Amino acid sequence: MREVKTIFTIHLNISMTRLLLILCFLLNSCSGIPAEFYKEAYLSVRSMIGSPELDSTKDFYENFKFSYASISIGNSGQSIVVLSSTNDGLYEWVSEDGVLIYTYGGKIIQTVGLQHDSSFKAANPEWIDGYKSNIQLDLYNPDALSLMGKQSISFKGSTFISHVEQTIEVSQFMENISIDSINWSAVNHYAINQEGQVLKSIQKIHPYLPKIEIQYFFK
Amino acid sequence: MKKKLIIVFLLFLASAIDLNASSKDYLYKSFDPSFSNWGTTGLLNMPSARFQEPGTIALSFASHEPYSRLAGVAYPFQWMEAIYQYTDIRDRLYSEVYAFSGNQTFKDKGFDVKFKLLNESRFLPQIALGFKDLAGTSLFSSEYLVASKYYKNIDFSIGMGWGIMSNNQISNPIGKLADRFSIDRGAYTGEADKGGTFSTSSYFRNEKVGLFGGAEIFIPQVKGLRIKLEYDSTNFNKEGNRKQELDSRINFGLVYTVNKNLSFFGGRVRGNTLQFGFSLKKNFSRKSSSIPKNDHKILDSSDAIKQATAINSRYLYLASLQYLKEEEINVRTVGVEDTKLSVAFSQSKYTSYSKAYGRALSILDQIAHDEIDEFELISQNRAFDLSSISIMRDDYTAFKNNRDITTLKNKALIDSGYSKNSKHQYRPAFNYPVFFYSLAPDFATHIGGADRFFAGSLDLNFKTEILFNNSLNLQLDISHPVFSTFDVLEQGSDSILPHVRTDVIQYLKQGDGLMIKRAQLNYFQHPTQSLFFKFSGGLYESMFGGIGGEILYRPFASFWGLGAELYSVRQRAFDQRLKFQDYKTTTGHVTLYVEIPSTDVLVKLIGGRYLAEDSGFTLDLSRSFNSGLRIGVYASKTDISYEEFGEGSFDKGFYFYMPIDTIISSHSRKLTGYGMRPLTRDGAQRVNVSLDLWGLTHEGSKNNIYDTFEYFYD
Repeated sequence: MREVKTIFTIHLNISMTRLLLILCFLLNSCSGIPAEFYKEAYLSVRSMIGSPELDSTKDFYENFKFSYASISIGNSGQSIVVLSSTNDGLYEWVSEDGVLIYTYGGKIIQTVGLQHDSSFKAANPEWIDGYKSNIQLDLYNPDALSLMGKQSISFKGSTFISHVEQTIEVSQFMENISIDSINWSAVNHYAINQEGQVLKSIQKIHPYLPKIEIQYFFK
Repeated sequence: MKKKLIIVFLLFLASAIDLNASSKDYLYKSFDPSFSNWGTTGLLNMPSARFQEPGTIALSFASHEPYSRLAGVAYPFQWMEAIYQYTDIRDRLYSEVYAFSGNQTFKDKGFDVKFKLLNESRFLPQIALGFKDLAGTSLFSSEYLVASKYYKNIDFSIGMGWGIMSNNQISNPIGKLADRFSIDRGAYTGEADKGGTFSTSSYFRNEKVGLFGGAEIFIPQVKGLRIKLEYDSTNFNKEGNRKQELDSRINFGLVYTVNKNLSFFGGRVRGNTLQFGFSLKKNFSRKSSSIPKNDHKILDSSDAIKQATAINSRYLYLASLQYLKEEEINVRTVGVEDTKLSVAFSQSKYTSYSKAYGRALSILDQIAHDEIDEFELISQNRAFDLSSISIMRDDYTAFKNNRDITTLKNKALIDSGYSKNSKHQYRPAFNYPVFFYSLAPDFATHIGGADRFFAGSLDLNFKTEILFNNSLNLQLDISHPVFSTFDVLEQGSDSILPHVRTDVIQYLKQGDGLMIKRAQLNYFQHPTQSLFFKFSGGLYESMFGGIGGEILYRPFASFWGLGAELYSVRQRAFDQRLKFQDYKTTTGHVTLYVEIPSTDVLVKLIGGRYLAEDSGFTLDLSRSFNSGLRIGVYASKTDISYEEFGEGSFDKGFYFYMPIDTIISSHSRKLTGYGMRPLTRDGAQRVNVSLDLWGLTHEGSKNNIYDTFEYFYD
């Protein structure tokens, strides 16, 4: 198994501004350039062009004791979150560096510990074509609480995805979220197997976070 | 024209949008004010009364014919903006002598400052007073008073300009206070011809002044986009000492903020010229401004270790040695007395001593058996016992539960570390000498030369420090150029003083092989609690080597210190190897250090004999932030005349530096930064001897530990 990276660090590594700052210091530093700069510039470039994927082979799946999910934020590399508890359909996933991700029916409804956290209330989707609902959203860093918005679900047909070295037929659903008060909308995608489990999803959960790609591996 | 302005003003008001605090942060990528063509926070050509957050460092570039302007901007206080800039004037040559400067276009260096006079309130605007091209060549010299006021999502500014910012609209209101202000400043430009002097007698002089104004409107529907519109009061008959075509005084443009730190802008000025540019900024003042490092080590076998350390104190010592070493904290001595564990350590991992204390205590709490109820940590740096901190274990346990850093800070006993470990039982033997080294590429640059504006070299740099014991070390810094463009530089020194710095081009050009940048042997002593001593000999820097020493009196809990240094130095050969030139001298200074309480301002008053054997004073003012960022300015006056000093009239400059761990993801004690002199001359120059005593002792000072205690569990 490759090293499991921390979600927080991966996300920060993709900062283009940080790369520009490092380049400025490389060119302008009057006191010599500490060797750490070169390593950091390399890490920044590497994270911007993406990182290798984590092992998703059957062996890895079978040797892993717990249910887990692979997750990547933007073009960062993948990391793993482990299912730590379930409660009435609410799943709590935890990363090595303590980031908590809560999902309900495959949708990320709350995060704790990311650079920009969010919390959806009354946003538990039902995978029915044409489903519509009002939602409430809290955003953090910066804080904007009790934002009211709308959610709609639409069915986008069936397709096949690769999951643990198997090709599985899934139903594709699209979720539209709009929060008018901050002029923000997002389109999320879900791949659901015949048992009604979301296996794979791409979600935007905060205006300042890149898209999150998450694939679930249940035991 | 007035009707047009009124119509535009009314349109702006009509487009204003009510905002609430929470949604504003999401409707706009950034609500921070943006930069102008001049580097100052403002409109297009005109400034506003806005400032970036204190601790912000910015780089701004703007181009509009015939100018390209690169500005470095710093905000040491919430009320002050300081700008150093280069303006490339493309329709004028650097000089009329081709052999001197070839086809290089004219470069003007300028220093601008802006001071906030009044904060914005519900009914009153923010007001600022600014000076452009201060102490410069007067090509762009101006003063202005400007007021800015937000109305919903629009930031309006209106102001009055003197000098180049005056297009002679109304009578100078200051002229009513004293007649001399009503006389046109043209008669006074003679003072500025020397360049580099503060020609204060010309400030605010104008028979008539100019009025300017405009607005920056934040567009909520197109995130990151702003519109700027202004009425420009620049005197285009005089700006840059020649006339420029003017078709309109209404300038307009767009700003696109990619994120909070990076913006691009473009627009039209003078009614006939396109302009574009970008700004890059970062606030370095905040704790862990870029990369938090939540890497507290949790020991899986803590309970088992505690059982082992309960057997006897030697096991506790050995566990401390091992587990602190894993955190790169080097235990020097350990004492166990009844229920108190005392550990003296040195470390080169954390910039903040508070953070080092926190990390060390976290480990000790996980390994020390339950009978230990008090921890004492003593931080040492070389031969110096800098500080100590004593914390009761119950207080630390309470802190771990409630994370109340203020309570812990109040309960911790912070004291001098001097001789605190004299009775420690355990003293591990070190295998001296210890080597630290790095091998990395490095850049050397020469900016602003007559031959070529920018010349540089890419070097391979090897740095090493060898510790022979706690008191004795050798620093070695060797470089070899890989690629260089310094050969094109031809400009020689015209200084009538000994060429202690103005032969810099010879050093750059002839340093074409292996160069010893530094080979400095240091010996440190800490004879009494408040007295620190350093002896240094060898090659101090590229240009000078010698022998000498420094002594510092710095009471642990005081806001001041007094230092003295004396060095016998000789000028090094241009190839920067082992040979010397004929010039030698004795240089020495007495320095009074005063930290002004509650301001984070350090005042250094330095008096003595400089390298060119001139005598005088240097005043250095700097502001530090908890992140470690320090922004400072300095100026010197010695017993040489302006004519002897040459262009620039007297030595002055600014600098900033910061710990690199504010922008990298790992810990480091290394600093990086940037220093700039408008001109490097031979007067008021000091020898650069590394490891100055104030710097070595500062992190461990009581005031600094108190100020940075928030890092304890960062």
